[in-house]
Amino acid sequence: MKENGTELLRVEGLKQHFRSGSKMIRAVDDISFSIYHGETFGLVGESGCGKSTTGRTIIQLYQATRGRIYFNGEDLSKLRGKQRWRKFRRDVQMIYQDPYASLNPRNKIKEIIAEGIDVHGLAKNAKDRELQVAGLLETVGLNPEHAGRYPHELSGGQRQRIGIARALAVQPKFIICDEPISALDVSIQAQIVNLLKRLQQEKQLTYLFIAHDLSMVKYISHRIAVMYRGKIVELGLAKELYRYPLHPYTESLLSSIPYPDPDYERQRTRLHFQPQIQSEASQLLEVVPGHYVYCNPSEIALYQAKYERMASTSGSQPEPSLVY
Amino acid sequence: MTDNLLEINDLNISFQTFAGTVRAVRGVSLNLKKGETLALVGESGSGKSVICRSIMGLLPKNANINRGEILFHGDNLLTKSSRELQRIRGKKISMIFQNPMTSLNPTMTIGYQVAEPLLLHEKLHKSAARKKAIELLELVGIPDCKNRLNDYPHQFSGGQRQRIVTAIALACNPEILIADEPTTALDVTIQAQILELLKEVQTKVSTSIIFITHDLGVVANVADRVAVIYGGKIIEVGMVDEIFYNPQHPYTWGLLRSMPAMDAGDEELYAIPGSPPNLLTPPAGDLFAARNPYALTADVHAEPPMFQVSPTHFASTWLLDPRAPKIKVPEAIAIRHRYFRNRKQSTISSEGLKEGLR
Repeated sequence: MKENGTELLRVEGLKQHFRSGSKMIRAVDDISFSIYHGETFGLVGESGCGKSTTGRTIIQLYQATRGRIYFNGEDLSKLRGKQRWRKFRRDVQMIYQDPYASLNPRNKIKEIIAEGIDVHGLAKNAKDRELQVAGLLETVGLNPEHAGRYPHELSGGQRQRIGIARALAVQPKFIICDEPISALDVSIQAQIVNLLKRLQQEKQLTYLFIAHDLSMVKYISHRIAVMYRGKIVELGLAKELYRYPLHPYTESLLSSIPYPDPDYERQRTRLHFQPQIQSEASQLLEVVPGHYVYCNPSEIALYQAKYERMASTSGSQPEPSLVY
Repeated sequence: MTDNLLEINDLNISFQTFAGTVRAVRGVSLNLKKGETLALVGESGSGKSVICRSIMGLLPKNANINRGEILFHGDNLLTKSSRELQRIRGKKISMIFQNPMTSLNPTMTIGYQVAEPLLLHEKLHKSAARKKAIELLELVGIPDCKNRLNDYPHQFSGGQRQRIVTAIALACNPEILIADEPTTALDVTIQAQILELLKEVQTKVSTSIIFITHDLGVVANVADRVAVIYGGKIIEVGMVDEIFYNPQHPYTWGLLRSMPAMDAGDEELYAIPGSPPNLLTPPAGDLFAARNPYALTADVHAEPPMFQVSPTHFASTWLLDPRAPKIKVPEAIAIRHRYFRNRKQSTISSEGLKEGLR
């Protein structure tokens, strides 16, 4: 949403390198972006492109190799003091991909949800704690009686709801959703996406939504960044990015999505992406307002021409020409 | 003997659990012709994997086949001894499993794993099997495979591992290939490559494929025929065009509507309400009735029979009964129905639904 909204999170020149034997793996290689209040920022790309690493570095599960992360205007690398870290950990929460692995099987649901409440001392007494848990369960569409159960007694969709309730328990401002729907069935995916959207409106939440399922990402996100090999190759408004994909990698990703339309599927052609050698001068540059592409400054005109061409013919795929 | 390669008749499977008997498959009948791709669609727990495992004879010990037969070339697979099944499994019928991370043995080289079915079934000599293994890995597109035969699974990426699993499944030129969610764990680009690979292999060796998935986009891409499964029963079956453009069962509608359209606005995504039925104590009547906004009173009392829509299209819903009241079909589905009618009269070019409706 709104470029003009106030900034909640800013990532500047973030690098995250891992050592693997004698080799250096550049999981995240110099990326910068901002996320504004109340928006959903989608981060897509194939596995191993560094999207999850980005999320984990933001929540400080990893220490960034280089670069700065500002949350609410504060530089996280300069954040000192237990109280301020506690505040940060309360403001930023995470929902994980695998609802089977992210819930402790030996704890009851109420203990799982209330853990954050206890850590941050958000409940006045035992009664209040119980009420809060019941309220959270209801918020995510579960029955308060689920509080006494164990994770194995619930289905995948219900467990993911628990994961969401746990994140909401400490009243965060910003939630990192790391592939929250990838492990779920199509019909359940829709329920979870609707729930996330509703919660965002009710609680003015900001999401970083990490996923590889492009059709759902587009549906939930306001802006999307496409990652490839540790770099953001394209960033723009969700609708714009899908209609006018400029970077060849984005084009190839979009042309790979199958749609529930057999006639269209029979004629869909997949575009292959040939990774080119990027020159040193390449960076994320604004091609049209609000739409950034990773390229050489000399290529901007090329991409602008491409945008014009797409806008006049609307879309790179052969447009099905049927009218009723 | 018919032209069906595989025929499943009135299959009933239940599981003995501590909580009681779970009726996982309830009266499923299916057939598979030579060279066709049949997609089985349904939620987790709908019984689609159980059906396929029963074909392979891979059901766990607590499973009970109460009734039915599975005819392969007219022979009932269910009455075969485990020795006889061993000769069929991996040779004439083979399977690709969902998770390529767990279906390869981490302690054996991939060269050996691909050659294993050749050594066992085809009784090939070691050097011949090795040569064939290289050919297979080339077929599935593993680069530089000659030098990678002695590599272990962890040295390959997820997509490559799924290709290797596919190579193993194809080693003995099976007549039937069962693919159990082969692309669910993969990225879209890798998924597209695997689907292209399966189609390519199918034209080369004319294998029949049973494709299990819950992703309708994938189904539209690969399938010739589709069977939709709910609560252990087939509720709609037909040619791929009939299922996607002329769906009759409210559950099929729900599945199609819960896919986000290409040009979707901000309106709420349709989600099928509720959760899958409890097969431990299934309610009377139609199992989908509780989640079905179009349920009739008849649904609560009796399970609907299969109604015929066209010679190849059947659906199990009381809405097709001549006595059923006319209901208003949701708009997203009505568009598909209109497209189907126009397409039949060939008043339009069959290029697919308009953008935004997919």
